[in-house]
Amino acid sequence: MTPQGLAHAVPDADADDATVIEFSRHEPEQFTVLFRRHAPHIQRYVVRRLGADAADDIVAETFLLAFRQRDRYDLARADARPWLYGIATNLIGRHRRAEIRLYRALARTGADPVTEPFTDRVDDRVSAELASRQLAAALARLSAELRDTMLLAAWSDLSYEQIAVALGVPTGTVRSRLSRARSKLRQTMGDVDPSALAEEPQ
Amino acid sequence: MNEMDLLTRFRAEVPLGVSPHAEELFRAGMTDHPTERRVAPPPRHLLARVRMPWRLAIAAGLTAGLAAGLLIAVQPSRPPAPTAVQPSSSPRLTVKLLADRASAAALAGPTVPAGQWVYRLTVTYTASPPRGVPAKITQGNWSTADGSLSYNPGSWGTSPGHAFYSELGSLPRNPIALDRYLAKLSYPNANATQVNKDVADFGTIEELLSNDILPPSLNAELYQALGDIPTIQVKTHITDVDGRAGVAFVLPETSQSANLEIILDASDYGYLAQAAWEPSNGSPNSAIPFTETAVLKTTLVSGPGSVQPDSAPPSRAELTVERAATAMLGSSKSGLGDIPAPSQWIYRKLSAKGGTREVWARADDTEQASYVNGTLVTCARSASCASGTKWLVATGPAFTLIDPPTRAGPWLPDAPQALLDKLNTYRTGCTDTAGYCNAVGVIANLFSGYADVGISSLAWYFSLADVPGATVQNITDAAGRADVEFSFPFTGGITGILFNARTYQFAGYLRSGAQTLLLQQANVAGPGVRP
Repeated sequence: MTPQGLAHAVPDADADDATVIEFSRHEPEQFTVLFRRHAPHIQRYVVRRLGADAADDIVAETFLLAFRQRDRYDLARADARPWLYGIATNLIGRHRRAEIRLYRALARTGADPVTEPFTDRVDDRVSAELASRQLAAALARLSAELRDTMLLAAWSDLSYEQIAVALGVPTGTVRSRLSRARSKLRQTMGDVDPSALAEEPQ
Repeated sequence: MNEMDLLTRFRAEVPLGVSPHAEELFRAGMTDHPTERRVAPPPRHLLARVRMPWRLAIAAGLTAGLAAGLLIAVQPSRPPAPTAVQPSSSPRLTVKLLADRASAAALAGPTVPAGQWVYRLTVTYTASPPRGVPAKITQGNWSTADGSLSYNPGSWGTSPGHAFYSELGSLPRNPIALDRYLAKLSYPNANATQVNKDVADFGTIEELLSNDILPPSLNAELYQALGDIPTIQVKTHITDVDGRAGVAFVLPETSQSANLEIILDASDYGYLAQAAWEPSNGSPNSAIPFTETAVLKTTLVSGPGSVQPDSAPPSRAELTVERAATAMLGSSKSGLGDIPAPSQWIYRKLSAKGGTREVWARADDTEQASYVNGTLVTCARSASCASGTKWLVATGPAFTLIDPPTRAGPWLPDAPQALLDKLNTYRTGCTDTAGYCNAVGVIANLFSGYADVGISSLAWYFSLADVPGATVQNITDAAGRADVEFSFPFTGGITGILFNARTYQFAGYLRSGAQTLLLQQANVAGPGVRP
């Protein structure tokens, strides 16, 4: 069934994203279905990267950009999450300095401005465990593309193929970026003892 | 705990859910002149465009305390000098002049085969590292000359696919076409703003120069391309973190990047280091500190893990193994936690001269089952039937050395030569022990008897290529499949190991010239269950 010509058609509650988007081309209000469906996950992803303050604007902007580009959406893609995560990731990229600042704040002080609003107990936020601080320091040093790939893999539930769609790169690139990002994290986090590598191996 | 688990837990306390404010903004935007809404970021604060000394001057004028903090935060390890400062005696070093000199030096460099392994000793300096992390970290790492494969103790990797120089060919000569070409390599979907393109060009060139040993002509073209980036500048009379005199190409900070530098040797214009620093907008907390990675030593070596200079071109066996590694790192089984549990039952169908046989075994080969006269017989290694069972891994290291339960080790050695030496200490009954026949026998056991452990097995492949006298040929095996055969000059025991010619998955082995082939392998629910 196509929505054409149906004056007040609405998609089924379990219609896939592509169907919802197709409907929304004629019934713009239907796009809110997509928002309700995916905004909670997108918001969590953005908050984890940029904190709650910046996230509201970015989440709204992600869906508004998607809304405006819905005519260009490839309806063969039933699941819209790669598209939405891709837009959100691009928008996050404009706040690269803010993101890095947050990682560095955590690495320096042990207090994470991102999770602070969500932590009830005072002693929880007094000092993050060392591993988190090292991780934050390592994330701050990753290149933007490695960080985007890595954090989508860790935080979005997208498959490699979907991450590739989200970032507009081949799947092989996602794999190689992940592999490289992981090894960089491992190096910088001291999983490999730096002192052991300070001298050339015999 | 590995870094992926750590990352999954990192900031996991952020709840799932959309804020009312976000929803409000979204709904307002949907009805409120949707096509006119501005989506571009606000223009950067004017101060951000001001050159460095100026900004410092402004900061210094604020308060003494703040200025001191700021200076610490933004002060690179050498005096920041965004524009070239020249001694009056020599001609002014322009971007063009530096590009020409670097190109000329590059053209005089050696031609290194793409598959040649290279050992690099680098030092990474971070101005204000987090507590517990040293400011300077010196590390050795290995990669092939084309950057397609890399090895650090404990991890194998492939570079982002776009940077394989073998795929680049010659670069477009027209600067505009070159711009577009380089930017596309880094950011296929980037909006073509000039800032985007400059940053993308610089990033791509930087990656190629720092990770690859390029053919001289391409190396030279890249330096010319660097000089063609419209916003590029030069900086002279600097020293890298190792104290070497240098000159640098500088891409001034943009909304997408810090100040980026490629530092070349001041006398021979060879590549020395890359650096990034961001002076920020005046708040000490917002500074991204100066970081620099300098290459201290570059040595051509025989393979990953080796530091002895060896410029002999890679053998066919070594190149085959590199292709296998690339294929495996690029396949879906990329080793990100998909090694089966040790207790997983695996069904195997094997064929040898005497016919085919079916064997069920746990992933760690501690228990095995097969049909004997129509009855399924299951045997554990500890049971009394064990002595009569033809174990898949008759001799070799325990599975826990390949996949330690706590992921904390101990592991088998990771570097190929060390692994080969270790595996050769097991006794498989062969005679040519000096020629690593025991190691080859054990590797055949590991491939045929333990679960497919993905890239954890990469070192096994590299070890095979390190066996003296190993040769490689393409064959059609007894089952009609196209294989790659690694042959070894032994008089007995395992004399060859077969891999699928396309996927490089294990396909079988030769014992005294006779093939044993793995026809099928699949995880199943238990003994006797066929896939």
